[in-house]
Amino acid sequence: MRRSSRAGLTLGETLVASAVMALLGTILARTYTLAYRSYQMNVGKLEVQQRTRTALQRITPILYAAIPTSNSAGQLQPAILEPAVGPPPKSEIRFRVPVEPVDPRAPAYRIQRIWLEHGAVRLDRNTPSDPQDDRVLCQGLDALEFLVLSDSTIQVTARARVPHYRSGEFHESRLQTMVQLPFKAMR
Amino acid sequence: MSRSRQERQGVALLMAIMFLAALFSLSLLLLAVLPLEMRATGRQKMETEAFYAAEAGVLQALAWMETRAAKGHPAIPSGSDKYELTGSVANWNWKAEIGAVPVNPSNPDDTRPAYTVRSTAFLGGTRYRSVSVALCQESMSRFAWFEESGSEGLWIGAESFRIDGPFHTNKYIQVNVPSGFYGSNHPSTFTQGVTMAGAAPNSPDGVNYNCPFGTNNPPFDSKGRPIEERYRKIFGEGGSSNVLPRVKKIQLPSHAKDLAAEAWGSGLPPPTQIGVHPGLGSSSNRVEGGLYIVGDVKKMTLAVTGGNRRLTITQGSNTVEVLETVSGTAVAPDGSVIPKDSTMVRTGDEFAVYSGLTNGLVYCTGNINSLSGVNRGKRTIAVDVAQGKDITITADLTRADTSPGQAPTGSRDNLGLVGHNIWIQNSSSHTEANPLDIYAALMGGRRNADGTVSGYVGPTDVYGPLTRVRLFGGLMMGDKQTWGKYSGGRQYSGMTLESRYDSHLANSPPPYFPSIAKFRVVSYREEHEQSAVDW
Repeated sequence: MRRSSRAGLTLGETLVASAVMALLGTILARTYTLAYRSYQMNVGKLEVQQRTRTALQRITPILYAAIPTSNSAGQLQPAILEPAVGPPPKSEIRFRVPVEPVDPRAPAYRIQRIWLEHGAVRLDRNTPSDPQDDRVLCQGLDALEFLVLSDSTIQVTARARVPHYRSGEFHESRLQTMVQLPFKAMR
Repeated sequence: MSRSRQERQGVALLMAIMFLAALFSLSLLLLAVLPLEMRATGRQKMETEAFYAAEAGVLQALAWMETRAAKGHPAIPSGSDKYELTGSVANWNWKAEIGAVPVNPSNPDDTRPAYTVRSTAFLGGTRYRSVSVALCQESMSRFAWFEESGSEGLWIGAESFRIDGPFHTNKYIQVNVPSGFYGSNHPSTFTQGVTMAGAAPNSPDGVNYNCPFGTNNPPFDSKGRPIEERYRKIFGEGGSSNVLPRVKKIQLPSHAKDLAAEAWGSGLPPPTQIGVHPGLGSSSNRVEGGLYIVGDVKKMTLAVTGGNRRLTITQGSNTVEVLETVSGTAVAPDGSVIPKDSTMVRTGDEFAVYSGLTNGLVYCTGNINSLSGVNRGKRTIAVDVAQGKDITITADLTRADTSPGQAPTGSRDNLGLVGHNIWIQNSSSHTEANPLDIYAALMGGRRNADGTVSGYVGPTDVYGPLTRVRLFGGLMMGDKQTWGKYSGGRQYSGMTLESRYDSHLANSPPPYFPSIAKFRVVSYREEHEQSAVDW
């Protein structure tokens, strides 16, 4: 009896315990894997969201500077030159901004351009001193669309995708904002 | 059995610890992700709030300036070139700094009031975002046609009027559209939009098409829906969007004191002795203002001599000649050379030469009973509007940079006239084939203390010979009276007008020409002061 009490578990008990342990281990491993994948997915989602958010945050204040003017014949020149009002949206926008420093009585204007090229959002500052003065506003976008809804309202849509860390799927973020050019409110 | 149970309890503890560890690591992963999202959202929220707070400051400053201007004051208090406004929106505070922009020395003719407004959003004393705006106050000369008009609104014949520039009335318009007009080849009556501070009752667009003696032939259907083709025929390419009722009133000025001060060029009291006084300001030999004339002017003639501009002013039997060497040197009566950019004032055999040119402003305390000639350089001729003084145009008033009958192609010789009334002398020699040419922004009218408006632009005699006038510029009037008398549907006396808008007067108005309480935003720049969240 003493010996048998030291012998520990019976084979049946050991098998049952092993089976339970294996089951619990599998559940734990699966839970951990799920948690890790969830983490990776969230990081991926955040990454794409951050890209689109950054794009819109950088584009919006630059568009705010767009302003209409009038030509020598007194005809109003629109703030947005391209695209024209209405669909389809374009991946490039051209608009009029004043030349700094501004003389309020005789302001001079130049054309600025924002467009998407190889995933990078570029701003052609077109400054008088350097007509080729480009600046990269942000990178990692798959699509950028400008839809001009009226002479002072632009719908901007940014889309970014990054591949999932293991599967062949993609994380995608599509962010849209409506830019109301402030000159309208101040007329 | 009891030891065996103890061993099993140990396994259960181990399992529980493992479970807890797994859950803990899961929680840690989530905690690592959540703050990123929260920070990004918080940053976006604060930046948006900061932007709207800064913009609120700009809008408030703009409204404040417009309110002052509407009351006839400078947009910021006189004597200062800066002013500061503060306010708050929810938890945010804003501070708007308004600064007057001095006249550009390289473009001294453009004297329109101009300002910058920089509004900054604060939270807890920390600056977050700023908005900078550059503004230029609009001139009255931007209108092709401005009219206060009588209580019944302005009556316009769609077929007999053509106004090819901005039109504004502080009441509303009544348009008589003859039958067949919509299908005719007649060009559109208006081209650049109509704004009205009032609106005709029961009209969908604020215009009365059912005016007396007219046909009720509106451009909308029985349910008030616009028929765009018809609208374009009356109001130009913009169609129904070219008519804006119930806009802000635009006030005529009640006086021309500002112009008097600029003409005299000094804060010192102006002279009271009858005659022509160059605006010497604080100097004794340099012209700093314009020309200040005390008393009635019998005749004023504008001319160009050797490319330089000359003004001849006759008061009673006294004639004064003012020559400004804008183009090159000239010869004085004694044979000496007058250097370029000088002003000579000559009375009989006596003359004096001052350095510098006038600011283009000619102000007269009395009536100008005869005005004509060829203008050179930007100029405004004004009289004491508050005292009801008038200007009478007696012959062609043209400009040196444009052949008579042609539309101006530049703004070098822009001319503005400001009076209580601007009269145009009747003359039977001015017919359709030989009209009287006037190149100017004509402003006749004032706002009276009781809120009424008086003064207008019209013929000296509505019963006088029918005179054809061809105006290249704009017309600003208090209350239009009839321009002539009719018989059998035909006008037989007074004056008829062919009006052609000169847009150069809008972008480059005559010096010190009265402004309206409206500011044009010429630039808008949004600046980050700092990141709203410290990453």
